[in-house]
Amino acid sequence: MCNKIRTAMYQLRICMKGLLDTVDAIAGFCVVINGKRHLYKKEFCDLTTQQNYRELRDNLANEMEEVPLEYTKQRSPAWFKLRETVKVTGSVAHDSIGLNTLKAQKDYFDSKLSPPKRNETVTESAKQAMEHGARNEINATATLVGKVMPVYYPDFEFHEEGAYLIRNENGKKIMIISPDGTIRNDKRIVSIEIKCPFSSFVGSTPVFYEVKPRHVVQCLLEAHATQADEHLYISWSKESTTVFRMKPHCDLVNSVIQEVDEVYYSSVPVRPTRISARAKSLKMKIREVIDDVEFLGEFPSITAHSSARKHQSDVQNVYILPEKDEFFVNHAVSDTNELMETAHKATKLMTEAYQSQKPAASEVLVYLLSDMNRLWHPEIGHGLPIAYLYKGYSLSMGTSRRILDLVLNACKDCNIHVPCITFDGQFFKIERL
Amino acid sequence: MPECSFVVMFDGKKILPQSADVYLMEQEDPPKLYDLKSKHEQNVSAIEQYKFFLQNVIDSDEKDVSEIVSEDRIQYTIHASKALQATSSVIRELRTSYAKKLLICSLQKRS
Repeated sequence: MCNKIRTAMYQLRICMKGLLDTVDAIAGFCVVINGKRHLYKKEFCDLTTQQNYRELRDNLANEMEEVPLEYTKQRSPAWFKLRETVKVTGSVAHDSIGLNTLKAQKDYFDSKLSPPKRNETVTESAKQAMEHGARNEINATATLVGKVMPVYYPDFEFHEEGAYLIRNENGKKIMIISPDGTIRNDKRIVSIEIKCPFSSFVGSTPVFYEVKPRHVVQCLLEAHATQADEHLYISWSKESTTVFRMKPHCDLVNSVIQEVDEVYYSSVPVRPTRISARAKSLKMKIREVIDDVEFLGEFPSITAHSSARKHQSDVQNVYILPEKDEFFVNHAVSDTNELMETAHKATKLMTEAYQSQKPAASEVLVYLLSDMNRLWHPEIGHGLPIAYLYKGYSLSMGTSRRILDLVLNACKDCNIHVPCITFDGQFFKIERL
Repeated sequence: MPECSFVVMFDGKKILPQSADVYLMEQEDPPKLYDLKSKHEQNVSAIEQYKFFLQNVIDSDEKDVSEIVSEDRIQYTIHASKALQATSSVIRELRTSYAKKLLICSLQKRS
């Protein structure tokens, strides 16, 4: 049994690889159409020379009296200090207002407001997941700038982001939001949230295939804070990266801000004892937001690397400008015939994929033709098989009827009169006659 | 529900075909195979439209993409986006199926 499954898994792997190559070829051709073939990368992306990538400079604090929040490099001491000034950040907003469970909300509330302050205990798996995310975020960014943007956002530039403040109606700062970046052109801003799933559960997929409910609030807060026109939710794995496009939802964000304000910034914050009505309503809205998300596609992932910079960065600019790429290699397909061949292969692979997903037959349905008096002769069999088919666990009523009609009509053509039909045993086993 | 012209027996009792239908429908799973087929047809259709557009480009002797006129470029981008989404959607199904099989293998190993 296990060998059979392993063979099927091997076939699936080949099919997935072929389809990812197809995506790569179609995307590469798109890039040529967009006139951005210099941005498209195959397996590696040198961020030092990637022309649509803007990295924040590290040493801004030495040159500016006060570094604006949005230019405060993430994971720098200043950024950690900044996060200490508020009770809620974008990544924990979901738990903090009871959108996960009441227990999670209480735990979070206690960690922030109940004296004495508890030491947060992080499990080993959570620690590994965080390290995995921090280590691979740069690879996800490389995939975004080297694969996705040249296709869907050819005229945009990726900007590394610092932090953004969200204030309540009275102007009091209540949340710090740190998007993983934004992509911008003269007219539009798109906020970015990157996730690098790390699951010890064997049955989970390496990337997300829908926006997870626990990430929706964070994504929408980032779109709100950066005043973005849309938001990209990116899920990265070593092999492939999925990309989803979300629209901003002002109503939902305003509800979240009000809830955070009431729970954590009232004159006397009260430990929650039940999930609030607003949180319950937010949960339903989150589901609606997920249904409205657009799946842009799954792209082959690429790995980031940086070469030594040859020039000093411009001190007038908060971003490090990319250097000239002297070793440009064209990876995009521009021959239409070649692309046509790839498209033919894709159709073949899709059919293979469809065949491999069809459930294997688990039962056989046999139609027997029998005499009305089954026991008229003890030495002659009373049931002659006249038709059979293989089936799974499911067979619709309409299909059953059509098959039965076919069998009865065939009997009629042979001048066999069938006055009645009987079935053995329970009705759900009707096909096992 | 179409009329059934045959007598239906259940445990030796003659029953109405309609009630047999209801009984069976309660036992049936949702028509997953049908969903699978309709999804497959949608995905293949997106690729076929994309191929049709490419064939037009080839027939017009514009074998290199730089020769495609600007109006066709917009059309190309639309068709290509749909083809990308369709292909990605198949990968998603395969990956989910692969993950399930991996889980079954792992459970079998444990037992």
